[in-house]
Amino acid sequence: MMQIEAIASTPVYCSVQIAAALQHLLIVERAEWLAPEKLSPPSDSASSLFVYVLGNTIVRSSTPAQYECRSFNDTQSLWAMVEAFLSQARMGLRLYVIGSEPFLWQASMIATRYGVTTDAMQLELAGKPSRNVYCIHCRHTLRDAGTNLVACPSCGKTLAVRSHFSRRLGAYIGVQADAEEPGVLPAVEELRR
Amino acid sequence: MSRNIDRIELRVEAMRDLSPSLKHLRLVPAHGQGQLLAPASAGSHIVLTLRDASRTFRNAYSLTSKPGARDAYEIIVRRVQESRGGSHFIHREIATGAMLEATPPANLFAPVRTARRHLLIAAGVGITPFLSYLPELDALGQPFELHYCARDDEQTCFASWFGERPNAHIYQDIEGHRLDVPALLRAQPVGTQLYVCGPDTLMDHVLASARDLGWPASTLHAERFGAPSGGTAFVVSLARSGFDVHVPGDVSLLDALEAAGVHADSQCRGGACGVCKTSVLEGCPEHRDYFLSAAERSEGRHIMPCVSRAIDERLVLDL
Repeated sequence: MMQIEAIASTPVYCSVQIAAALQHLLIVERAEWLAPEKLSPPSDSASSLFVYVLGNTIVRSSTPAQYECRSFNDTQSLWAMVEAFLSQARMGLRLYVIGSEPFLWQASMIATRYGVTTDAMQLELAGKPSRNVYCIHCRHTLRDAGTNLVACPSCGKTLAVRSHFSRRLGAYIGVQADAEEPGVLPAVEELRR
Repeated sequence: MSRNIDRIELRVEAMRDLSPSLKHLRLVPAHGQGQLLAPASAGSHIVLTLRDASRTFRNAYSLTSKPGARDAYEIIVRRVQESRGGSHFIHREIATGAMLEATPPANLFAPVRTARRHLLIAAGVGITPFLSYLPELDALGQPFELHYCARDDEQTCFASWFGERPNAHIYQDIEGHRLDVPALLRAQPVGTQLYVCGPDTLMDHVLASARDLGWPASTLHAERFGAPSGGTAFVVSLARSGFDVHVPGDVSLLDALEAAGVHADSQCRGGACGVCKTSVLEGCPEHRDYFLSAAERSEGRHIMPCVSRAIDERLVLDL
């Protein structure tokens, strides 16, 4: 297994914790990744919590926490609803996202477009390692890469997945792996965190 | 490391009264026609050196000229009755044609250009940094609101900057005409950045309300140019220079150091920017700045000489 070396651009993830704010939006890629205790908002009863879950599951909390849960069958309808929510939301909103890396950064990119700052977002990584890779040669973004070497489906080059992460693109940078000596490639290894 | 603090020479080209207590100054390059000033961004300030017969004052003033203007810097000076003297000196002593020494513009209060919206809250002469925001935000095409708590003599004197804009709201200190800060903050859409400038009481109230409502720290911006209030006199011993400096009760530590010919870096002179941070070797500082963290304050190993003083009679500094 190959560990991607941590550099300044490598994202750091946290464990979601509901903060003190007026309104909270929690987005979860898979219902089973949401620990029920996450749904206990702070004592401030005036704040409201919205939970958006991908997949046809209704999240039930073991605590008497008050929240509104909606589930979505596909990412398209989920992100459309997130956009609708953000376009109406007021300052004092905190965003929490639990999911795979591509899912986290999709949410982050949408929220950034609405002016949500990084200190108002918490991103919690879940599931098996998977990375989006941006091909610097043809600018195609390849989804859910699981190995250190990937073939770009757009231009066919074999890309080495670099540590350099772009928050704007939500992807790691992929560079042709055999550019110096054509055909000479390192061994393929699975990515781990 | 020593900062390169260039000095520029400016000439007072024109002065006019905006109100009995507010003077508008237009400052041009001191020497010759056709000279150009460095362009300044929205929210910039300069520090003027004002020499009285007995004392030297260094005061920071926001530039109210259009961002990028190179022909002149414009400032607005309020006469404060209990000021440490600089602003009073300008009102009393400075006339058209006077030469002034200044620092080049610096900016500790620039609008966030990537924001979706801007909320500007000002009170009193704290309106001045926002006067350069107006053309900048207009040019960027970004939506903003200005909420200005004006004193009686300020109700109309900024009309030439505000124009007929519907997004400028003026409040009075009269029941029913005051700004309701929490209500205003609650109504702001996601993506708003908050900027506040005015007396400490207003800034503390606005910032505390915003934090209570869950506004994240990166969206809160405050410009503080508080004149250092005095205290009791004390003595600083300068370990490297090898002599003592007496700091009178009505003089800031930084002013006293400068008067004694000690080179000390500085920028905002209001305890906000951190440029003048100095190591304390002995003694307890009385911290009055907004720069040091709570942990750094309790450690007491650094001091901001522009606003902070000594708890006891003596401090030893690494200067």
